[in-house]
Amino acid sequence: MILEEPIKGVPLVKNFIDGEWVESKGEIRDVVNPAKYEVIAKVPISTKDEIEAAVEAAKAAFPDWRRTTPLARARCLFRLKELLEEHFEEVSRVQTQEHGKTIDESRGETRRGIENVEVACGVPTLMMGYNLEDIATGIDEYLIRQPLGVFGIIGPFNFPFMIPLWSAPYAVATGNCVVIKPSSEVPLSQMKIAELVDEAGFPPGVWNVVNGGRTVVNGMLDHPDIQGIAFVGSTPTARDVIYKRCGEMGKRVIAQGGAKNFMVIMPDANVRATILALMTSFFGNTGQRCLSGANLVIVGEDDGFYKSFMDAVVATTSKIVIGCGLDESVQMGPLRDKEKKEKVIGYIESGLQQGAKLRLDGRKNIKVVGDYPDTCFLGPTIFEDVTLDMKIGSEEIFGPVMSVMRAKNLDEAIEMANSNLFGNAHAVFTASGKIAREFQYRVTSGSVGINIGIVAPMAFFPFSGMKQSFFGILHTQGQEAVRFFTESKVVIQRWF
Amino acid sequence: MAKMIERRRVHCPVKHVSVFILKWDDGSSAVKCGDLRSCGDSCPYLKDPNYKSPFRRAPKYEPE
Repeated sequence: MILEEPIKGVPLVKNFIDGEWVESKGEIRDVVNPAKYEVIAKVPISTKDEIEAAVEAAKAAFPDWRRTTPLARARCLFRLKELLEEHFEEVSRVQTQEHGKTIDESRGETRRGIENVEVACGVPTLMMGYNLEDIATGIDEYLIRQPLGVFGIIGPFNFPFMIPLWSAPYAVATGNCVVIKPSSEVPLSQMKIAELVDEAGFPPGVWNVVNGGRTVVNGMLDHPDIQGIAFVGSTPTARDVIYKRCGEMGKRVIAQGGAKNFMVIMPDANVRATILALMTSFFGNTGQRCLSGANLVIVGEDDGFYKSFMDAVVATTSKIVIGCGLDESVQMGPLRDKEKKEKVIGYIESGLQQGAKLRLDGRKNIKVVGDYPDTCFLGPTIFEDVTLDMKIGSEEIFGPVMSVMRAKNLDEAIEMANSNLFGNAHAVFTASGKIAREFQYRVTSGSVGINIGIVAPMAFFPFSGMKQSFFGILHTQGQEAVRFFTESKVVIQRWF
Repeated sequence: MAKMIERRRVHCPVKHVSVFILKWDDGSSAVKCGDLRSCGDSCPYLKDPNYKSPFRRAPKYEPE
């Protein structure tokens, strides 16, 4: 069944500044639904003046908002949570319409986003400090957490609803004000959230959204009143732009970058359950996520196990149903746009040039359910005989491509994973607790999966990352987000 | 008074939350879910307490 689209006509997206919907004076671009390859909205590329107006509004709102009690701030978040639940299906369909992912993936994304609002509702407890009496005779010491002011939040295209919610609820819960810049490719989910924020009773200026591109990002980075940035996107931007400029400007920073996740298969793994997990890991969200499996490492010298496992992987992958995400039977949607599809095809071609064996070619015979142009659709691709020096074995593809390698033993598999520049979410599939512990202990990865293909930390755990996958110290989500958005102030007191 | 004969937790595919299905020996049933108010009559478990979504996120591997 094809679900009804919530975005009708071609609306012009506005900025949300100081509690008002403001039309931008910037250049206007198209927002394209990749499944139908049709324009569904127009988005502005906002100007420097517009980002400055948003920061001014946030700065002006800060003194009153920080004096609002944590309990009262939490009540606004409780209302937002209720409104998000009421609009659950609508916001999920908006994500599918603007991004292309399946409706099931969008519903999952909505749930994960709401969970962050729920966790942030616990701010009166999360924000508590601690104290110790009598650090010296008659002297006490205590720590309080205080908000800092205005924070910038920059979202990527792959999770338009959820990723800004890894940060924004904690920022405002702790008494800060935010300016959010969604990806200009997928701005509609954040517009919908801003509408609900307004309805939830947040005062003007606490939650602002400015659409755009580099001008807005640079405006945030250069603005002296922005205390810190939470960014999720590519590694070059995270490392060379966001992290670097925040360092130069003395801002706090969370800069989450790319990934190349290794899924290590031990010979004792439960084959049926592992293959099911691998399908959603490698091909869920059409491979466009930093938690996707990228390299499949099959351990052991048993050619029989390797062959039977790979035959099963290929046979199962071939059955994935591709189509428009609003068709509830579909298991994989299109790539976000034509350029991203071409980039993935470029990687497939490089794999062939560098000698990998193409076992399943996603470029050919793409069977799209329904009458949709194949402009952004690409089938799942599987390469065997991949080596670590190949581009498809080392670089982030961000598409539905599985690169298969072999390792003699667990040591070699861990060395392979650790030799990669990224360290986001490696996983092992095994029935052995000893192997699992060894893998968890030695692998250089912010999140580690044990028989889990998509190692997505829940809202009350940090979304970690190591090496070129993360730049900063504290992470988004949960307690770490609360610490990121607050200063630890220590008071030592004595009364005469 | 009817006796409760089943208390089952299921994963709702619509809201991605845990839902509790209760059944009594007089044939009646109830849905306990924090989202029931927002879902209203569209809740599939209200219509059929044995509802199972036909959707599968990925194809299953079926060994021969």
